[in-house]
Amino acid sequence: MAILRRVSSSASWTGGSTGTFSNILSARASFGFDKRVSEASIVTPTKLGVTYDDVVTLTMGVVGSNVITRFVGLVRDFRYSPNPRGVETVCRGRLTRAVEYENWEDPQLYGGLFIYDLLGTQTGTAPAIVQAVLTRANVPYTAANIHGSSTVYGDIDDAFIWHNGNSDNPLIDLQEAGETALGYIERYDAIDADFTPATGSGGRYRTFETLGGTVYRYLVGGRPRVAQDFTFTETVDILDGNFERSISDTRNYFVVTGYDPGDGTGPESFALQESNTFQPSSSKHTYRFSSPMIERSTEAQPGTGMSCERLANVLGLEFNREIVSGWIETHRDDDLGIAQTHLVQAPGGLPGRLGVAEKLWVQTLDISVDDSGFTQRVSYLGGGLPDANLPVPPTR
Amino acid sequence: MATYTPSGGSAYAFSLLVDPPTRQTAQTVNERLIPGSNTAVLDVIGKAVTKIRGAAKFASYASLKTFEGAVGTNGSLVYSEEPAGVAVLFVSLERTRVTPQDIHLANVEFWVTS
Repeated sequence: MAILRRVSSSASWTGGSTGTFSNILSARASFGFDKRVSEASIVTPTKLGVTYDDVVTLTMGVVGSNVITRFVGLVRDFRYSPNPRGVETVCRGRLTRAVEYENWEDPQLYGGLFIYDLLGTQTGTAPAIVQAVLTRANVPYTAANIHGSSTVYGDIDDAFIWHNGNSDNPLIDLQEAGETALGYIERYDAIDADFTPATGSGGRYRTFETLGGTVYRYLVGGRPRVAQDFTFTETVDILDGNFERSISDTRNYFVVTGYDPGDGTGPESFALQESNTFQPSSSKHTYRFSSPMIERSTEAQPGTGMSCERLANVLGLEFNREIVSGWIETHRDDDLGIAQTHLVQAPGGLPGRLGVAEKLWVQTLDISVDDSGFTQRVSYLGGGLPDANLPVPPTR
Repeated sequence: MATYTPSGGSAYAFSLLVDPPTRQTAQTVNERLIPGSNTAVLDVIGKAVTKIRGAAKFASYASLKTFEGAVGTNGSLVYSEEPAGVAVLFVSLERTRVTPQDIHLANVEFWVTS
């Protein structure tokens, strides 16, 4: 039996001029939590009229199936090759403006911007702060798409300075020079978490772009969701793959430290002892995490701010498990996206040659059309019990 | 009898021994196998250009060298089934035989560009 398909790739740009990419030799779009912003490249025989900062929309798929927008972003690089002659137009998602924007403001001569300078109030939630930062970096977003915990940050205001590194105040050390908008946002993404003790459910919030070019900040769990978005089955729609099951990075003891007031009592802190099949509670396999932006030790401690306790529990979800990682390559042209949950299995729902039959969380996605046809390569992270309470991630 | 006229030049005459010559047009299809199944994924990528291949006869060594100089040029190929000429790229010439009468035989290849 043969699955006969006609592949399609097209792209256009707007900005300094408007045009369509002609004679596309190959195209690729990449998304992932390990590459900060999405990226696409379009190879053509010669340089076209497209130029820096033009907005490029790339469409790929199988004719009659799912020819859809797979990337929207800004032109950043051109790469030339002599033989065979080709020009690769490299684009990055609009979130790249947050990578390129460095804070230069220091209105209070204290080394950068306080939350007050961003919001007009001393304290604020992560979504409000992230929106203010995206606005400064000229990254387009919809407020309703910027999610976060209800935690209010900033009671200890100097821990939340968006450093500019060139303060005129001679008493301030030149610290964190060149801190970018995305770097500042990622400081919140690292600590802004939800955890529900009753269900053992939770995760941290991540800022990323969808295939449609929309910026989201979304709860991405420490574990895959219970309900999968897509199912991939060996001998059916998996062309190639590789998986690893490991306990090398499994941990059962989580030590989180936060702000140190400098009064000799030490930083806010919390230690969480857990266990698993391989690591009993009498043993310690430690994962350490520290951030001065964590303002409380425990959830019961009065005041506002993230607690070391909540973050320790979320880290437990991420690292107290057998860690499953790997990738598959598929010819399917479904609307896949990062943060989705996929069920990867062999026929009958059993583990096959790849050794997995479980829900896995999509970490990276590479979509390509070239002389091999249309392919999507998906990298996964999984292990542990799936989470029944995580929201369905956005795709568009 | 056939002629090849490089773009902007004058016509060079030669003989195509097999007239009309072979023509080849290929649809490029990529075949991928799904391990463990009897299914193949066939992705239609695109169509290759039409290639005209034949055996040519040149009346002299000088004529052969003239054609060698024209390899790599764009031009117009005229032969029996294309009396009005067809736009081509002259891709290759490989001499295969020389007779005592200074007749030179060669394989030639043209790619249709229009």
